[in-house]
Order: sequence, then structure tokens, then C-alpha cells
Amino acid sequence: MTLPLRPRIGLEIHVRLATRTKLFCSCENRFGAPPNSLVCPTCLGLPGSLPHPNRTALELALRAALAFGSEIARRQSFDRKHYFYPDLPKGYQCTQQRTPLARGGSLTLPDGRTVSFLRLHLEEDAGKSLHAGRKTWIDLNRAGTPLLELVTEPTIRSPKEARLFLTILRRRLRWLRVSDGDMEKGSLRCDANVSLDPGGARNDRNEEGAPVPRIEIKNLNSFRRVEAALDFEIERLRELARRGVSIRSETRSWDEKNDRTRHMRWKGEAPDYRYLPEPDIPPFRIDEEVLESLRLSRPESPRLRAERFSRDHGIPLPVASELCMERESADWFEALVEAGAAPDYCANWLRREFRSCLRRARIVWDEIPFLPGECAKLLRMLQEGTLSPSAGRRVLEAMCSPLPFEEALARVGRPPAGPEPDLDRLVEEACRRRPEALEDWRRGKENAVHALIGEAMRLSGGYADPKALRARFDARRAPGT
Amino acid sequence: MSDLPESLSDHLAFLAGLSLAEDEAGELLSQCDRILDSLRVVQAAGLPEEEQEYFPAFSHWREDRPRGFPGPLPEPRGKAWPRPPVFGPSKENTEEESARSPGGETAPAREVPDPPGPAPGLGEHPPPRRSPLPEGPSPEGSSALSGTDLVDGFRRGDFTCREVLEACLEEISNWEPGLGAVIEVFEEAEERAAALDRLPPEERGPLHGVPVLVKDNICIRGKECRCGSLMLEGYRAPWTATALARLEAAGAVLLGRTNMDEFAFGSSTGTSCFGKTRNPWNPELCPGGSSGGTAAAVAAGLSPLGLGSDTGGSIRQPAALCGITGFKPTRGRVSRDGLVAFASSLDGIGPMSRGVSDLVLSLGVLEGPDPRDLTTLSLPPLGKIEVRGARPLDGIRIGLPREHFGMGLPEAHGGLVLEAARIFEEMGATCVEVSLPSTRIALSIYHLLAPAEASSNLARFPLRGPRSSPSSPPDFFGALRSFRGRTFGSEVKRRLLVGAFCLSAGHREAWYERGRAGALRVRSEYAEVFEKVDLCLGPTTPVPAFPLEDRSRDPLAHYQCDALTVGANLAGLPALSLPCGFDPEGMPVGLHLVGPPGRDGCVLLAGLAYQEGTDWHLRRPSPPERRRKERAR
Ligand SMILES: [Zn+2]
Repeated sequence: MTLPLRPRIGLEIHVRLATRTKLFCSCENRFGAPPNSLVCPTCLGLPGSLPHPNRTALELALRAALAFGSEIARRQSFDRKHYFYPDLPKGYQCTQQRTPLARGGSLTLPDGRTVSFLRLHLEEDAGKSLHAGRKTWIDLNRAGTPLLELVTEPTIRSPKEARLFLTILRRRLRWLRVSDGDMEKGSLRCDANVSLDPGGARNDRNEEGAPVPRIEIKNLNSFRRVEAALDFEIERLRELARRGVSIRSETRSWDEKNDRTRHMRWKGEAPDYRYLPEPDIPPFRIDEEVLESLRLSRPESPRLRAERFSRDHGIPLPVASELCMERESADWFEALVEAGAAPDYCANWLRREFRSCLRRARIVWDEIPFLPGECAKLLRMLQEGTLSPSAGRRVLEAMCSPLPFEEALARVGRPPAGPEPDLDRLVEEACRRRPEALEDWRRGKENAVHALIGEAMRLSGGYADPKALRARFDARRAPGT
Repeated sequence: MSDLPESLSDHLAFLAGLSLAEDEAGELLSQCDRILDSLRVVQAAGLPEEEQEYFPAFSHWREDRPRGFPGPLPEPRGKAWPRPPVFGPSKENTEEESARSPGGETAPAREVPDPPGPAPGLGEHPPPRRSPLPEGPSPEGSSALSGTDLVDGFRRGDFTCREVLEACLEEISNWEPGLGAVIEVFEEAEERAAALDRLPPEERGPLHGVPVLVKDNICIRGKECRCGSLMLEGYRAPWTATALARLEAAGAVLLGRTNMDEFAFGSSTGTSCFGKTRNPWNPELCPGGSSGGTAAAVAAGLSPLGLGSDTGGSIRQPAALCGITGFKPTRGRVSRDGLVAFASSLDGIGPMSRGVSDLVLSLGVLEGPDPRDLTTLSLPPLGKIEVRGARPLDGIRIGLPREHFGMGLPEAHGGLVLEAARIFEEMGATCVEVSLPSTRIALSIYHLLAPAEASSNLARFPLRGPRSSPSSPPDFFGALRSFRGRTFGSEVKRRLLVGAFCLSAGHREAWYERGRAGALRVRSEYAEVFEKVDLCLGPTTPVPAFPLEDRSRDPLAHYQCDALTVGANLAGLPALSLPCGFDPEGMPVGLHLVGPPGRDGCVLLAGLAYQEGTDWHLRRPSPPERRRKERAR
């Protein structure tokens, strides 16, 4: 019996940069506008128009390259890559494909493995073709938006690892504010290539020294599809290898409907792009000063920031790392601590209560309608115990709705007008309803009291003061009372 | 093709995005083969690789701020002038633009060059100080005024903008449609002239009321921009080129569009879809090209000033053949925004007029960096150019490249150019022989680079996708190839095929890359020569004006017209062509002055001094009815 051949996977990722305008014109770089509303002579490719390159696009690309530790080319230029296609208005794409912005660099996965990059470069996106029946409509809003293309070495070992890599990469690019990484808006698109490792010293050649055939898969627009397509393809290749069928390099596309890949073209049929140095953008240098100022303005890496949180605020490193998975949650943590919240309490609350509240309210970090200062007041009350956790949850939800903190507190944070809840009656009722918890507690199981307090809180509708309840339960610990 | 198998010629047509009809394919491809054969001299030259220039990143790059294309109009140089009317239907952008640059605001002032020389009255000419050679045709005609004459006349109130415009329109009706130079006269011109007449004198710009004819490949908002091609039928440009916007802001009146070779590929103005343009000196001969429409119109006196574009000599060669003055500025002095690209790294906009003084006047307005064109440079402005004293060129060294006097130059032409050199010596300059060995291969270098870039720039056509015909294939690319094959003229197709070949995989190193090395070689050769001399002087073209019908069969002979002008494009140098006499057939002969990069002022000064001492530039061809009478007699 022979072991199944191991796959070698490489990814080619196109990331739409988070600039306000397109790469070569001042049209807005925005998703979802009415078709052909964000266009101008330059991105329509009208005769007589010239490219006006966007310095922020270059800065973002350099920022990513610096963060991955890539070697940035000191001398750079753009080329025109020619092909005729309806959604390519100029008949060519302006790209750094031949002279990449940077080479090398890597990204570390949580398990400590690293995935190296071959190259990173800037290029402009094409428009979109919308097929409706026998007609095709062209939307050029996307034409000319800035893309960063990242190509990894083919060292990813499994479809699962490919998916994990993409998740980490996306998180990192969002952290760097290089891209919103939103796949639904097409801000992150991926092609994959896969070959079966023949073993031996040189794993890109087989025993006879011939290059190992490589399959490219285009059109993978979600992480799930990347994993599914690679799974399918590896299985297909292994099956071919088992049957002794020789494998040819080819390009395939993912067919979402039938959950399989389909042949597009054989390798060697790749079009002749007739590269021409872009004459309208003079070749340019990246000087050391530019890199130095980018290094200085570069955001702290998630790892360093987590270490700093742990060191400065005394919270466990795993907790800090979890906070730093997203830049926004790390930013909120810092802001809340700054506003006076206790770090450890704050960290746990952010990771659990706050996050689940955002999820329930269906808003993302960017859309939070209140300021950290208001939130810190809420947090202080929770910590002091003057507000019960469930009341706190209701107040937070009201703040998301959105209401100002004071108003939210007045509406849902306090018990309804009327007599104070009768605590003794609540405690008695809780003990009656949870005799087993009471029994456990009396036998010395300290944690069991929380079940009792929780029950009493529920009975009070969340308005009772948990500290006062605890005192009354303590008074009843001795059996018979 | 000799070294290309048949299937590869199909492959080329495929790359160029053309499908060729059977009856033309054979001839086109064999011509391309001969052209490519002629380009092998560049490979044989064994040129070394030379360093390319890199600019600091970001230095010209745009900030990431949305503000609608193409951003605010670059500040006019000199004082702020009232905004010109905007052509075309689009209203909202007009408001936006006026909101961006509020009236009355004063831009950083820079002295606008005063028109040099004495101010002649209406209908008068400065008496020629000297006619160095036997009389050619004499100056005559009703609207024979130069732009500088006009500016002075307006200042004194001798005439109004409308009167001048009407004189031009009358002259156009005298010459057209026989001449074939003007393809559209703008209706708005009259309204614009009337508006300019109402301006108080202190608000008048340096080009107040000067009519300007524009080559058909420069965009004017709301106006057709056809590049002499069927491919752009019905296309109207949505914005005005920076150069034209600057002219308008300085008070110029855009008079109309002029004919050109299709997409500026040619030296005869004979490939336009609007028909051939004739040479006003002899209607049987061509005016040169590709800016032949502007050249013929200015020579015939239809307008004092015209705008052309120059990629390999397209301003200077027709200027020489029509007996007018044309200038290609240093690359980067005038913005290319709104100029339909032919070969982007060689293209440039330049003025054409009867004399150098008008070129200086218009360049003061045209020049200057433009955020819309990254390749513009911050060169020191031209400022005032004055001819002082009897020996205005004292201390200036002029080189006569010996290679420029070979290449089949007719003897009479060579004699006239050498005579001009003698006049320069009388004015204080010293003339020495210099050598530019790459002149021999410069034309081939040009024909490696220009078609390659053209094949890229023309990949965008047709702009709205192919219109299908009953015979065209159903798929997009098939329909596109068929439409392009039907619509482009044969010279365009030749260049697209040659260009696609030079860039194709497996051939680009041996062809296109050699062309790049060649351009750098030409540049460094000129740089060496300019260490010894201030200017280079020679004939503009080795070929006299040729008959209208001739040469279209032999593209290679046709290309020879540009042999002496392409060097300035490859090296990005300022170059001037000015008339220096008439050959025995009575046709004008052009003198070519080339200067070091950025030293446009030196070139123009020499030209101005020459024209103060001679009157060749004042000679004008007879209008058609007079010529008919002469013939009857
Ligand atoms: Zn745009």
C-alpha cells in the first residue's frame, strides 16, 4: 500500500485596497453604486485620457509589504498587459506583474507554521460583466479600482490550511487597514494552484526532472469554496494518479452549482499579453525615507499589541491575544481602560457580553453608535454591582438601538416604579425552586450559590441587587434557617 | 512574412485584434514583412543597454481625494482671465468648474511675453530687411496678419475680434472645400468673439481674440474628435484638453478642427476619412503630415495660429512642406492631457504659425506642469524672447550634423539650408560640423517603438464595443476583430500588425527592447553633441513635397519623410522647423533647429533672429481663384 500523494497548494489573492478613490483616477472606489455611476474618461479609457496614480494605494501596498517582511523593490514601474475583453475598456490592464512591488515575506499561522509569499504587486481591476439571458451588460464602476495581488509559495499542505491562511490573512489586512477584506463586496478574491508532491529532494520536479504538473483553479470567491474546490481537486488528482493517468497542467474553474471543478484551458494556451512599459507613468524609486516614514506610521502588530496589553494591564496573554484578533476590539479595550474600566473585567466583558450584544444588534464594530466614555460608565456600574448583568445587557442593547447611555439606563436599567423587590421572598422562592443547588451549597460546594442567585435574579426580572441577594443567601446557609 | 510562417501571420492579426479581408491580407502582411526587414538595422547595431531614469515615488502622484474628473483646471499662467464658454450639452459640470475657480481671483502672476518687434498696422507688413535669394512668391492676401499683429491691433482698437474672425471665415470660404484642411468650423466661435469684444481691456488675455485651428486629435468638450478615422464616428469628447483650455483661458477663439492622417499615422494627410488635404502652394502635392490640415490652413492664411501634434515629425514636416513655422517643445513642457495617444512616450502638442513670434506668444500660455499629465516637467518658463542688436546670436555655436545632409536630400534643399547657416554666422553664431551617427537608424528605432505603443493605445477602439454586421462572427472577440478590420485604414492596420509583432512573446526582446535601447542611444548621442554646440541645424525633411496619389503603395518610401525629425522625439528635445527658401519647383523648404532638453528658448531665439533677418515666413500662396486666373493667362 502506498501513502496518498501529498498536495502542495499555492494561493493567488486579489485584495481591493481601502482607498477612497480608484488607482488611476479620482472616481470613488466604492461598492454598490448604480452601474456606471463612478466613472470618468480615465477609467472609461476614453481617448486622450491619462492615468493619475493614487499615492495612498501605493502606501497601502507598501504597508502590507512591510508588515509581511517582504523585500520592497527600490525601482518600480507599471506595465500594460493587453487582452481584449468587454469589461476592459482600454484593451489593457495596468499592472506591476512583470516588476513586482515586493518579493518574499511571510505570514505566521496560529500553529506556528509560516506561509511565504512569492510576490506582492499593485494593479487595476477590470469592470464587471453581468450576463442576463443572451445579453451581457457592462458595469465599469469597478474598472480601475486598486488591487493588491499576493502570491504565496506553493507550500500550503492542505485545503484546511489554505482556508486558515486566508482567514488569518484577511484579519491581518483588516488590522492594517489595507483592505476591508469583504468577500461579499469582492474585496478579496482568490485563485488556487495545486500539485501532488512527488517526494524527493526537489519537490517541484519529479524523478525524471520534469516539472510537476500544476492545476490552477479560478473564481474562488469564498473561503469555503477555496477549501471545497481544493478538496475536490486533490481527490481528482489522486484518483488520476491511482489509475495511472498522466496529469497535464491546466486551468480549471469552480462550478458552484455542481460542487466540482471544470476544465477551462490547458497550460501553454495562456494568452500573449504583449507587455509594454506604461509610458504615461514614469518609472519610480522607493527611497529609504519613504519606507522609514511608513515604518514609523505602521500600526503595531497584533502579537506585539497583545504582549503589551498583557504586560501593562496584567491580563493573561491568551485573553489579550483574543482581544487583538481584531483591531477594533483591541481599540475598544484600550479606550475603555483609558476611560477608567478595570482591565481584567473589561477584557472578559468585551470578549463575551459586548461581542454577543453586537451580534444580536446586527452591527459591526465600525457602526457602534456610542463612545467608549459612555460605555465605561456602564462598565463601572456593572463592576460595582450597582447594575445587574442582565440589566447591563439590556442597557447595552438599548444603547445600540441607539439611545444615549443615561436614557437607556433610565428606561431599562432600573426596576419599574413601585415597591422595592422583596428580597427575602425572592430568596425563599429560589431555594424552593432549586433544592438540589441549595443542598449542594450547604454541603460545601461554593459555586452552587450562583445557581441560586441566578434563579433569584430571574424571579426579580433582573432588577434585584446581586450583592444584597448573596448576603441573604449567606444568612440562610446553615441548615434549618 | 519571410521569417514568419503563414500561421504566425494569422497569429499577428489575432494579437492586433484584426481580422483581415482576404484581398488585403496578402499585401498588408508582405508590406509588414518589408517594414520589419528594414528595422533589422537596429538589431545589427548592437546597442548597449543604458540606464533608465527613475523618479522619486509620490513626487507627482495624486492625493486620494474624490473630486470628479479631471479635477480643477490648472491655474492659468499669468493673470486670471475670464472663464471661456464651455462647449457641449453637459450643464452640471460647468457649474462645478466655475464653483472651483471663482472669478476675479488672481493667479500667481508671471510676465507674459510682449510681442517682439515693431507693431505693424492693419494690412501692413514689416518690410523684409533682406531677401537672401531670388524672389519667391510674394506676401499677399487679406488676412495675412500674424497673431502678434492681431494682439497689437486689438490693443490699439484697430479692429474687433469679430472682424478678425470674419476675415478668417471669409478666407476659409475662399479656400475650402478645395484645400481639404478644415473639417469643421465651430458655430460657437462667433458668439465667443462677440463676448471677447465686450471685455474691458484690462481683462483681456495675452491671446485675446486670436483664432486657433485645432488638429482633429485634441479633445474639445462637446465636439467631435475623430482623429481622421471612421473608428471614432460620432464620438464627442466630454472634456477639453489642458492645452486648449489654457489657450481659451488666455482669450483665444477656437475656430475649427483640421484634417490629419488617420490616428496621426502618416506623413501626407492622405489617409484621413475626411479625404486628402492639398498643399496650398500646389494643389497636386500633399501638405505633409500628420498635422497637414493645420499646416495647410495656416499657410493659406485661414488662421494665424494652429495646434498640431508631433510624434515623429508630424508638426515640423508639414510645416516645412507648407512653408510655415512649427515647433515641437521639449517633452514635458506642454501637457498631453486630451491628446489622443499615438505613441505616448514620443507624442507632444505644439503650435504652428507663420512666424516664430506667434509660437513664443502661444507657448507662454501652453507651457507649464499639469497634474493631469504625470510626464509634464517643471521647466523654467520661456519668458520674454528678444532679438537684440545686429549680432543677436553672438557666442552661439551651431552644429551641422553631417548625416543630416545625406539621405537623398535634393541639392537645392541642401544649398538653401547651408545658406541659412551662413545667415546665422552673420548674426554672430559659429557653425561647425558635428556627427549624429545614429541618424542612420533613428527612423528604424522609431518604427520599432511607435507602432508598438500605437498597438497598445489603439486597443481601446471601438469605444462602445463592436457594432455587429450580418457577416460578423457571433462571439465578442470575433465581432471585435471583424469590426476593427473593416473600420481601420490600411496604414493603421500595418502599424498595428508591426506593433503587435514587436511586443509579442518571444520577439519583444529582439525588437521592442532593441528599440528602447536605440532611443536611449539617440538621446545620449544628442547629449554628447550638445556638450559641444548649443543647437543643431539641418533640413527638416530629406524629401520634398510629393504628389497626392504617390507613395501610398510603398510605405517604406513614405516613412523616409520623418528620417531627420524622429531624433528629436526619441530624445525628447525641442525642435523648430521654419521656412528657409523655395526649391526650383516653387515649393517651400524647411530648416530644422534642434536644441538641448529644456532650452526651448534658445531654439526659438535663433528662429526669431533668423526671421527678423529674412522674409521667407511672410510669403503666402495665392488663393485658388487667383491661381485659376494665372493659369488662364
Ligand atoms: Zn474614473
